[in-house]
Amino acid sequence: MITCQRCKASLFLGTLFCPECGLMVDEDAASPTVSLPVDEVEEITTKPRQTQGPAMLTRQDSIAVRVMGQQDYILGRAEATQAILPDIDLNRYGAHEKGVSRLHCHLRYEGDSLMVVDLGSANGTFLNGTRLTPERPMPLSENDTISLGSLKVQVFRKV
Amino acid sequence: MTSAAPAEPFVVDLNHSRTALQVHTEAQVLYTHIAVRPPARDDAVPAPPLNMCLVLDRSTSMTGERLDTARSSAVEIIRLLRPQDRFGLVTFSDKAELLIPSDAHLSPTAANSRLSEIQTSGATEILKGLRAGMEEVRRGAVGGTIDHLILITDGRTYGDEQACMDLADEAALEGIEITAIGVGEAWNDIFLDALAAKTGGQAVYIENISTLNRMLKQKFRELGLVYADQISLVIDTAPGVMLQSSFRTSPAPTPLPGGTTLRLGSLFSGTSLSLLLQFVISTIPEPLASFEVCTMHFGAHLSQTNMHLKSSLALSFPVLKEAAPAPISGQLLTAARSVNLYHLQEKALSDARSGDAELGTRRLNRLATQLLEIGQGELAQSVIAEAEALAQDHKLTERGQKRVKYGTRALLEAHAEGPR
Repeated sequence: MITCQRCKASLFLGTLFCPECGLMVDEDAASPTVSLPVDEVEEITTKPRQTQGPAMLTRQDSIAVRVMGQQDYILGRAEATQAILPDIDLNRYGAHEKGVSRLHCHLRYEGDSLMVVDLGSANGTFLNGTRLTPERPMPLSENDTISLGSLKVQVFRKV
Repeated sequence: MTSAAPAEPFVVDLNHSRTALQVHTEAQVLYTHIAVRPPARDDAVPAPPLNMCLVLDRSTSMTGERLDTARSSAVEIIRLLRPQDRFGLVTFSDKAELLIPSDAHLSPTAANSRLSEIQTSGATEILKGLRAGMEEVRRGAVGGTIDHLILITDGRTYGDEQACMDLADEAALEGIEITAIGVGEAWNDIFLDALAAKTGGQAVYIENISTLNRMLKQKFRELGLVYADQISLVIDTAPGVMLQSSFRTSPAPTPLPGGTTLRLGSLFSGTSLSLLLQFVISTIPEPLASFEVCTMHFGAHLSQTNMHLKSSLALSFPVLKEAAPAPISGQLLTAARSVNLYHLQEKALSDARSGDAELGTRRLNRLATQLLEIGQGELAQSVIAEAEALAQDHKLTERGQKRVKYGTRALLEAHAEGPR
């Protein structure tokens, strides 16, 4: 048997999509444990697809997100009653006080380009100070800063 | 792995998720995607005559816009008929009436006048309508015709479900396909799905009656393009092999009940009929030059020549100690993803029906996450609404669960080929 990387369901060898959560199964990566080797990194347990997931570094007034390991992430603020949970829960960074919505924005790769999409958040997503139109993808350059409400997030890719 | 066999009169493409099976002490899964299409030169021959009967619910709940739209849609179809086609119309509530005999060949004006006589009243007794409709189709089935019954209802039938199923079994044996159209939210989707699937047909959800006209016209146009009908596939699995899931992915995506005897309906000119099979293969302890998964027996009625064809194919794979993963075709992967999401919603709805609101809610939330990831935001919102209803009220809404079910099924339509 192999194990679904997301929901930990036991699956037959050769299963393409997990029947319990719908995730595409990567047999090579279907190991039960994901480890993040970087010292300063806090572990995120949602949707790791490869041996390394997204990693976040805390700084005084902003956080940094490494986008790696899967094609897309939703950033937001998780609440117990929420139907869809964000991949990256920003609660520990004072998300509520800083005006972060529960599903605030979406980071995703389109080909080699990394895009950010505001998901209709209440307080907006800002790219280098400019507010994004909801649902309209905008390309992100290396080390761009996006603001979710007043929470600043620096995005960079793992080399 | 792809093999294209250009033998007349069909071209069959087979794609598998593996090129070899693996020596393994536990079970393994194999997906097979089958696409059947006519040879390229099929479009020169006109399709055979259509022998169709519309069976229309006229129970009290159809009063107003629903009946008015059904009437005008029927007239539109009559306008499209070719001289060789037959079109009958039966109305029913707690009794059935043959309003337009299929050999009447009424003008649209005369038909409109006849249809204006319909009065709504009474309850929905589908068996009555189905019997009268079947009788009318049988009368016109003179050989070499495309025999089709379209049932339009907005209600539930009580107590006669099994008799309807038996009638659908008869229809399947006689080559009569049933399309069942459910209008609004009160009809029984499980029943109509099963009824239509027995004949290779499909159940269609119409949330808003205004789409009926377009849907019926599309169905009529398709039936004018039938290349082969009564297509069936009997899958004779080898010992230790189980057919876990079978799903027609195109046209009219629908799960295929019936165990290993699959009724696949019709193949239209210029399109493919595709299905996804999922096998579970038990332990294979040692390498083998060839392991037979199943033998598939294919049957079809060629509409243009009125010939019945049969053909068989054995599906075998080598078994290796280390079977390296092979590239999987995009078509198979897309189909497998969508079918998996469909099964996930089926499980969630089943959880809800059996009273396990917590598990159902969890599964709906997972489904919504996946839908959001593949860009199906609107459908994801419907799923979330149902997850919330289930969590709070411990039940789903009739409208919501139909939206989720038929919306998830329609994910496959986006990838279908042909005129749909």
